[in-house]
Amino acid sequence: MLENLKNRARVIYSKSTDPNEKRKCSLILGILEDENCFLKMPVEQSYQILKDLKIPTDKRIKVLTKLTSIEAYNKT
Amino acid sequence: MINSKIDVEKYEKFLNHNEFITHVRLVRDYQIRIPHESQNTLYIKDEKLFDRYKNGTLRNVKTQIGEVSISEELAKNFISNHGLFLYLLSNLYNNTAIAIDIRLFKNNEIDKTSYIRLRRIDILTMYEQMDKSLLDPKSQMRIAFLLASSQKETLTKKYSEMEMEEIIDGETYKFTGKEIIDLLFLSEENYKELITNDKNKEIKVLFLMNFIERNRILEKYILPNEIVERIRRLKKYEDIDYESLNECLAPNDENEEGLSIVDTFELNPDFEDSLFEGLPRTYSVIETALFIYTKLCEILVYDDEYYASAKNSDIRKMHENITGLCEVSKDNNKVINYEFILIFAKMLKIIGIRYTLSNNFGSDSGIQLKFRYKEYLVSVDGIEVIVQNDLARAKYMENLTGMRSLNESKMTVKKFDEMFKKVQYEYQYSILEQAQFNEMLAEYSMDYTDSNTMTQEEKMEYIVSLLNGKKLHNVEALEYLYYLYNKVLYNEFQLNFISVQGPKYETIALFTYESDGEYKYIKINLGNPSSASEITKDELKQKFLTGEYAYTDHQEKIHGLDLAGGVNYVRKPKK
Repeated sequence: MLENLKNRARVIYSKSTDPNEKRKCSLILGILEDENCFLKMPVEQSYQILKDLKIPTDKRIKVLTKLTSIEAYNKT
Repeated sequence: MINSKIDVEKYEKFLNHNEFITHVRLVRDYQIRIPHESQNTLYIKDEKLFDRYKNGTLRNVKTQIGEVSISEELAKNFISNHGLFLYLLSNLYNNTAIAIDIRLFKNNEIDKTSYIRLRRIDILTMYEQMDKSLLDPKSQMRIAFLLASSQKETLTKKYSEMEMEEIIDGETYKFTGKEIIDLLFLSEENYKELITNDKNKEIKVLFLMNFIERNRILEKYILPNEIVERIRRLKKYEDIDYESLNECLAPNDENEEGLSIVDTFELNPDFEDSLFEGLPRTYSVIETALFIYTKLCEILVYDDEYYASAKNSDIRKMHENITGLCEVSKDNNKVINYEFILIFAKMLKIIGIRYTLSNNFGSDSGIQLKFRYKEYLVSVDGIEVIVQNDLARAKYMENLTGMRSLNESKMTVKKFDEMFKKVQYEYQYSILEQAQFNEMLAEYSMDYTDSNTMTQEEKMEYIVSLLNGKKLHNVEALEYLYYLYNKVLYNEFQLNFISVQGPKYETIALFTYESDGEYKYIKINLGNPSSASEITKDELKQKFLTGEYAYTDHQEKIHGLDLAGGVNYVRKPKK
């Protein structure tokens, strides 16, 4: 799933002409390099990243749940 | 036990008494006292003969345990002369490792400086390598007999009925002689199997090596080359490293009151927990020890003021009181060398690793710690930690040197060094990575994250979805809820644990949050975490008033819940 999110960030980055958007994507890509990033971040930032990666609203909680579940926690 | 009189009688009458004299005659004719251990010594009266035996035509013999020079005349005489051959046989039958022990008897005195001593393996190897075709048939037969006595069959017959018992690591192990001899003569295939798959290989090998050592097997029996080579490797702890057995059985750290010194102080719980933060879950116990050592070096600093201070100064007194170690933390991190060692020893005890301490407590002089885990024997030198300054090296991400393997086996040392380097590298890398991650996160948070990104309802929905469908036992659910609470909700939510009295007692987690000026409550049954549901204020109050609900202990009172009556609503234990 993390790889999918990184791919989304790369696509947004490549399609965007706004330098600020590009900077945001590049920061997100850097953060996503840490495979445990979602377990380390405050939940608001995790949610914001999903928002910025244009994950649909009705899917965000589900995605966030999967990324921070006890199974993900136990794998660290 | 040598019944020396009978043995001597057997060969004495066949000796040339102008050349040789036995200890029996020395006692009888010269009143010379012979100690018991010298009663299989043969004494030469003929100085020229002795000189030829010692310095004459010598042959260099390479035995399975080293090289020795033996006089050819001596070797031939002891096989051709009946009396001397019987002397040789008597030592063989008495199972002594020394086959020939000759001293010079000169001027009615034993010359204590001149002797010839040959082990069985020395003389037997000489005979094995000798060109026997030049000898008479009787000598050839005698050599054949002697060599047969040094083979596996004789060894087996001699020892297979023995029962052997050893205490290893505090437990008693028993083997029969046959089991040990089978172990000694394992085929190459079975030996490889032992090395690879046998869980008790270290115990078995220690038993075997002790048997070989105590019975001087290599000095008495000619073994096949591959077995000798195998024993040589095992002696150096190659193939199987059993060196750590029986090490560090007692910590050697008891104070005057008989208490283990690491039990006389506590560490700050937060500091202790922090030493495990970031510990990769895949790490073994010994990797955990190396991780903790690396982290301690990174966190702590040497208190050089201690070194510069006067003997009875306050700073000296502070450091000499080890109960003060409970105050060591990331912010209060100055230590001296033995404090560092004691903290590390305490952590080793926590993770279940045996250690010993040298007993230079209470001063800044050298204190060593040695610990053991499986095959590894490791030393931590308190002076090295400070003088070579691992405490500084850790901060500059340089290689740490205060901890090293004491094992003799080069393979074990290499494995340890590689493991230690790997742990240090991963630790340093994780710090760098974490620093980079934190930097990026801080930048993203500052420029792109809105504090109202998630509503409280969304947060609660998230908690419930995390718990939904999970099968967690009560304690797991409790721990996970705490984790989620700290991660997600602590700023805006209150968490209480409530005791519920029903057919049996249960615990629920109660989340309280404020929404549109009102308090809202979500309860989650720990026994069924997917049971999250809203409960109204009135319902909650009613349950407390009837006693169905109670606080589990003295917690912060639930926000917005006004329980009048002066009762504290804490569940008391049943009498």
